[in-house]
Parts: sequence; C-alpha cells; structure tokens
Amino acid sequence: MPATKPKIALLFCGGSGIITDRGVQAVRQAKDIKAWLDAVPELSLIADIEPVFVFGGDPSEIQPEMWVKLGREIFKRYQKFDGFVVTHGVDTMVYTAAMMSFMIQPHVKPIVFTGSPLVTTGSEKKPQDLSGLITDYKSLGVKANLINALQVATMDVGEVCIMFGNRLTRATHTIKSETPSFNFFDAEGDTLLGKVDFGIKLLETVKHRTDQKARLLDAIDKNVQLVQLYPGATPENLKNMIDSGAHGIIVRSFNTNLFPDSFRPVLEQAFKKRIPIVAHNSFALESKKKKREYIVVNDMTFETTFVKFMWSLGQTKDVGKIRILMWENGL
Amino acid sequence: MRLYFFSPLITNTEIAENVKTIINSLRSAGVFVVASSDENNTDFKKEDLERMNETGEILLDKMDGIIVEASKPDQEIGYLLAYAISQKKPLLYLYQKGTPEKVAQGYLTKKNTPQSVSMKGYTKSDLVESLLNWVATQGISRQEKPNIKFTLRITPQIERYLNWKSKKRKLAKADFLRELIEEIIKKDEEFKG
Repeated sequence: MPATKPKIALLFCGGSGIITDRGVQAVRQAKDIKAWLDAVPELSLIADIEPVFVFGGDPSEIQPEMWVKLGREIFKRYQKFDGFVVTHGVDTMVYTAAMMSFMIQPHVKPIVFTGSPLVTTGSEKKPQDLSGLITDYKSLGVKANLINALQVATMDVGEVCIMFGNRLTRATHTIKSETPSFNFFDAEGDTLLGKVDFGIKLLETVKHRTDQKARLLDAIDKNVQLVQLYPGATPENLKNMIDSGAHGIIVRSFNTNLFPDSFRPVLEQAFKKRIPIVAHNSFALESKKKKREYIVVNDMTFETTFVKFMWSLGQTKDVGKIRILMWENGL
Repeated sequence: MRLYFFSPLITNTEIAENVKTIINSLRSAGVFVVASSDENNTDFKKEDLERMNETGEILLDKMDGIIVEASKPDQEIGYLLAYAISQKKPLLYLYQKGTPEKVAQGYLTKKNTPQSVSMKGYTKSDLVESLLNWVATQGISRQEKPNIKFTLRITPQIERYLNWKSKKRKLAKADFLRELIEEIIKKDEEFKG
C-alpha cells in the first residue's frame, strides 16, 4: 500500500446489500451508512472513503431527478477526490451509469458503478432466513464487486464504467448479460475495459486519466416517450404521443425498413412540429441514417440511446443539434 | 494446493533475493505457486480458464491462500488484503523487519482482523521457517523431499516387474516404489498409533 491512500467517494444509490452475520445489510437511509461501513472495514485498506447517501430504494424506482442529484454529488467532489464508486441496483444500473457519462464530461477520473442483486425490503432478515439466499448469492461476490470497483477507482482510468463479476465494461457499451452467470453484464461488441483474475487487469481499450477540466451538464428533459413497433402496429399510438406534447419520441423500429409506409404522414407531422423522433435499431443499415423526419441510431445500446436522448433534449431543443449530439461518438 | 504470491516490482537486491527464496521454498515444499511476476504459469487447463472467464469467476477465489511480500508499499497489497479478508481467504503478509508499512500494520492489529490473516516480520535467517510454519498452520500439506539415499537389492524378477510397471504407468521406478510405500504407510494403523 502506498504511504497515502487514494481518496474515493462512495456514493450509495441502492444496490448496497451485503451478507453479514446479522443478515442482509444495506444502506436504505443515510443513517445506515455507519453500520454498513463497519461491516466491511477492509474497504479502508484500499482507500480513504467518504460515503455519500443519494438514494436507497429499489432500482425500479429510480427517477431522472435522482440522476441529476447523483451527477451533482459527484461533481461537487470532482476536484478533491481521486475516483468515485457508485453502488446501484442491477436492474437500472446501465441507465444511470450511461447518464453519468453524458452529464460529466470530459471523462477525467474513474466513476465506477457496481452493486448487489440482493434486495432488502422491510426489516433486516434474520440469519436463519438466509440460508438459501447465502447459498445462491455468496459466490456472486457482492463484497468482491465492491472491492474490485474500489480498486479500479484508484487506477489510471478516465471512464464511467461498470465493475461486475470479473468484467469491467464501459458504461455506454454495457448490456445485460443474457446467460445466467456471475457476470451480470456484457460489453457490446466485446470491448471490455478490463478483467479480474489475480487482480484488476486493464486492457488497451481503457481511456486514461487526463488533466482536462470536467464540466457538469446536468440539464435533462425527461419528457421522452417510447414506442415499440410490431407486426400490426398502427401510427395512432405515435400520433397520440405527438399530440400529447412529448418533447421527444424513441421508436424501437424494424431492421431493414425502419417504419411501415403507413407511418409517413405521422412522421411528417412530427417533423413539422419540430418534435425529434429517434429510430433505434442496432441492425439498421448505415444508408438509412440520412432521413429528414427522424434520427436513426444504430451504434448505441438501447439504454444509452434512451438516456442520451433525454440528455440531448436537455441541452438543446434544436432538432438539427440533437441529431448531431445523438450521432456524436467518443463516449 | 495453490497459493498466489504477490510482490511489487522490486529494485532492492536484498528483497528481490528474499522473493526468490519465498517462491523456491514454497515450490520445494510441494505447494503450487502462482507468482505475480509470472501469472500465466498456472495449473488450470485452457478450457477451465475460458469457462471461468465466461461465468464471472475470479482466479483468486481458486487459490487456497495468498502471500504478499509487503516490504515495499504498493496499492495492490491493500487490494489483496481487502479481498482476502472479505472472502475469508488465508493470507500471509510478509515484510522484512525494519520495513513494515504503517497502514497495514495499524489495520492488522485491529480486533476485527480475521484469524486467517497473519502478519510476519522476517529476517533473512528465519524467512523460510516463518513461511513454512504458516503453510503448515493453514493445513496446506507440505511434501517431504525424498532426499535420503537407500540401496535396495532386488531379484531379476522384481526388476522385470518394475521395468514393466513403470513403463505401463509412465512413472519412474523410484516414484512407483515411493507411492507404493506411502500407500502402505497410510493404511498402517499400527504405525500411525
């Protein structure tokens, strides 16, 4: 260990359930932090930790307002700390992590998300109630995730990333793993940033710390609505959203022909009303991109597209500029 | 038994020598050592490594214990300590006397440190003894070195049999005989008593 330890802010945003002798212990309120830290004193071997409470509910309850709060809490400490670890429930972790990628730019220091799939609702469970849970989840290495995330936050990483299982992934390229394993997440396009074997091994894909000055761009517009296309879908649903005053609409569209012909008049209507429509399909052909009526996104995960659209709408209402922001890479 | 041994990149010749001694002593004692300076040298099969990589398992979890040479401060040492404590994995924290690192020393004297973690200051003369004592206390079996010479006269028939058996089992004749005797010892309750 170095003579002085790195300073890491540990932000609690759900997903903090750990198994202790007393049961599953989580930070649901700020007052839970001390007991939680007492249960994992070994974290202090890696870094000097400042705990920050942001949110303690279920990941399904996460609201965009919480993203703004989290972004501000991180940015408030950005200059003084060497890195940041955020605990978060697994269900919506990818959305929150991707949003932090857009809110705090450029990426100068590590912001590492990790978390626990253990859900704690109501009162603490007694140890005898946990035998099955411990059998099922002990190997998931919730504490190991935390320790690995903390170690990444001390390293030469200038990224918003997710540490889970033995994988370190870039937040905006992370997808939920489809196969059941300790690796809850995969990296889209197989671009891992690092892996854990006998320690954290960073790969060449990782971006390093820089001396640039980061900015907080926390304006977001949550008035985004979602349409899923399916055989038999009619344009009425999309029309209703336009009429209801949505500021932006994401359509999960088809592969080769993104929209059926019957949607053309409604798309034209949205264009005239200056309401941006994003057509998301990872398999959409590049040639389909040059459409006046909608913005084709084929190079981002759905979760990243969703939060980037909210964030872009917060930055500008100009549809042309939103198109540029949505197509900008580098995150 | 497998142990992971970590030492930071060392420029100090004396400590570098100690690191060599640690690895060699462990290996001589029959422990499979994965050293941080040569992590690819494991006894895992390629397909097992691929499976573990896919399923999210961490190789450190497959080790029976961890030893760190902590005479030189390094961020990785704090990480390994924290990891070992959280996973209740045996860890030996070795440092050359006169060079202990204060943060870990402070932490490891706390009451909440599990028994599985030991801190040991060593000198060049007691390094091997300290190391092997810890290995023994962890229940990691030390193999005795077969270094006692013994002349055994045998009949031509026994020789023919030994030649045939060693070829069949792809074992040296001496190894075959040693295994045979070890089996007999294991089963000999009277000897154990």
